[in-house]
Amino acid sequence: MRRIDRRAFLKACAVGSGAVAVTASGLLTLESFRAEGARRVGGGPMPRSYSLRAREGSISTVDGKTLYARGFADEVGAMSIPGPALWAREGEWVTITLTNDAPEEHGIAIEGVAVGPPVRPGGSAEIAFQAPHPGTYIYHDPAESPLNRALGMYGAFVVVPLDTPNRVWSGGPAFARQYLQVVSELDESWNAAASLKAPIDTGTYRPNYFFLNGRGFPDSDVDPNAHIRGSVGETILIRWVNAGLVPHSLHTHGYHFLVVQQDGRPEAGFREKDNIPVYPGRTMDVILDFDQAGLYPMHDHILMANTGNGVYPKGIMGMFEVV
Amino acid sequence: MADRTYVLWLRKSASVRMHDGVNVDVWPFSDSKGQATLFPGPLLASNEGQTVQVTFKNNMNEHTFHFHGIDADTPNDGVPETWPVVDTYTFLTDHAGTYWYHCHANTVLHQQMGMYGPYVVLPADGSNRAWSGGPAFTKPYVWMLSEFDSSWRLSNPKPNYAYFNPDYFLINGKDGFDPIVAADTAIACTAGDTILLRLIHAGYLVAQVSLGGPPFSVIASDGRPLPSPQAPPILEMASGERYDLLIFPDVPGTYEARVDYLDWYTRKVRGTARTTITVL
Repeated sequence: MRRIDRRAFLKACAVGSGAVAVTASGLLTLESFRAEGARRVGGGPMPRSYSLRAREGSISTVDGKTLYARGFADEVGAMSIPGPALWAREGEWVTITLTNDAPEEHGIAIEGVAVGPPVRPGGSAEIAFQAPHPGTYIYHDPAESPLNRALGMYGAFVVVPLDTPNRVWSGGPAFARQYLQVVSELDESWNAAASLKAPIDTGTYRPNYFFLNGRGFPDSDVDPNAHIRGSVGETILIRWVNAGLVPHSLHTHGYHFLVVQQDGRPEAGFREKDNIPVYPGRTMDVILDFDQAGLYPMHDHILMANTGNGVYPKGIMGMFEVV
Repeated sequence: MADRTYVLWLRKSASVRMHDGVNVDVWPFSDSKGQATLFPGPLLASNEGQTVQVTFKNNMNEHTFHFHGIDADTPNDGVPETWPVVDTYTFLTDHAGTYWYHCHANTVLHQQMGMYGPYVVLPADGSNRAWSGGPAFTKPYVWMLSEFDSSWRLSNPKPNYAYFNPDYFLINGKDGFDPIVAADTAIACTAGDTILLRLIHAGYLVAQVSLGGPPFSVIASDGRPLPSPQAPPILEMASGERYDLLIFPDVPGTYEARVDYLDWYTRKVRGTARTTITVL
């Protein structure tokens, strides 16, 4: 849980862990949410609240360029790509307040869970929902789709089981530690045009920089979620999120993995694979046993995405370092 | 001592002829020095439980073998970013199934230049079963899927390997209708046979495989049995993946099988390779 926003996490921990009556997951109106809260006065749970800001900023490439980008920031922090990782326990009430600090309209949607209204520059809006089935979800800005997502407006939303944080879901596979790997890419010409407010033909997308948690290799190697350290005998969970617009076919060296869940839905049977595509806007939870020591890459086998502007191996590549 | 040994050579001045008569440069592996161009590289095989040694004979410190899916240890994994380049690789093959090997140095270019070949692990007894105690088959086939971008062979202008625009779409190194007459690709069988088709994706675009009629079942992927067999109308696979299919030809005839390669953004078909399944 290294990527969690520390203040948000402490705030969330302070909220208490009273059992939550789980009704249908999904988007509720703010009014119905407040009514539900009112009914729970005197012991009912409070919401887990997040504040995000839509902002303009920049992203650094592995070859030293600084490109115009758009992204999400936490309440006081600078914009990051991916945006802050948001977490909740299954069934908890969650609110996300989006404040728009950027000059265009923005919004927030969590694929398959909740969609917020468009927010005008200077405005803000709140979405409220119950955290769905434990698993990995994507939040992104649906405005000007797919442009804002391509410019960096995405992040992960992770739901953990209410009482068993070291299982993928209650009664599901167990693990010692978990890691979050968001893969994405950008077409430099879109970022350049967006910075000039020039029109962009989103029918043509020629990505040339590729990211693991917002960085190309080896810049990404300083990220403990990209360069994963462990010991023989441990079992880990990796949450793969494809926030980009093209598929990424992820290959692990040294180990096969079990595909246990996609888009927050458990698989009927767990496939054992060493290579699998994660499609745009989709997530995959995989369990991996460290059954040998060594240093092994995890990389995109769509090899254009293993480059930074065509230079290998400066794209999507992580490492397992196992003793 | 290894149970099996292989020696492979690299040929750096070779080309393969496409259906339109154009020769495209490749850097293929072969199993003897000076052998006529074999592309993709030779099929390597071993049995479950065997230790295998593969030697790269004329490496000149520029290339590696990565045995994709074998889960070799770091010194034998063929990744220059994690271990110095070596010429001899030793590993255990402990799961029957379909794998492949390829160069893992500047992979974006070297794989595109054709530095790859199929690798098959047979059951411990070497029999015609998908794995020990698994389903039996009459005859195996391997289809290696890939594409060529001939512009990546040019030095002026120097290609940007982020931009892949293939102009040839292949099965086992042949494009267009040529795989129809290739004996190692076009499936010839008799009603009642069980064919094991090993699909290996050595290209860069998502591929959709359709067999044109004969019933089949997808039984394994990436060297492991699937938890339950699947029978999708079209099998979609991405770079690096392998799928093992059992085909159950039942009605005599000739069927058009095809592989459509999709644009990674629009998912429009960029090109197609065709072959046939002939059932007597």
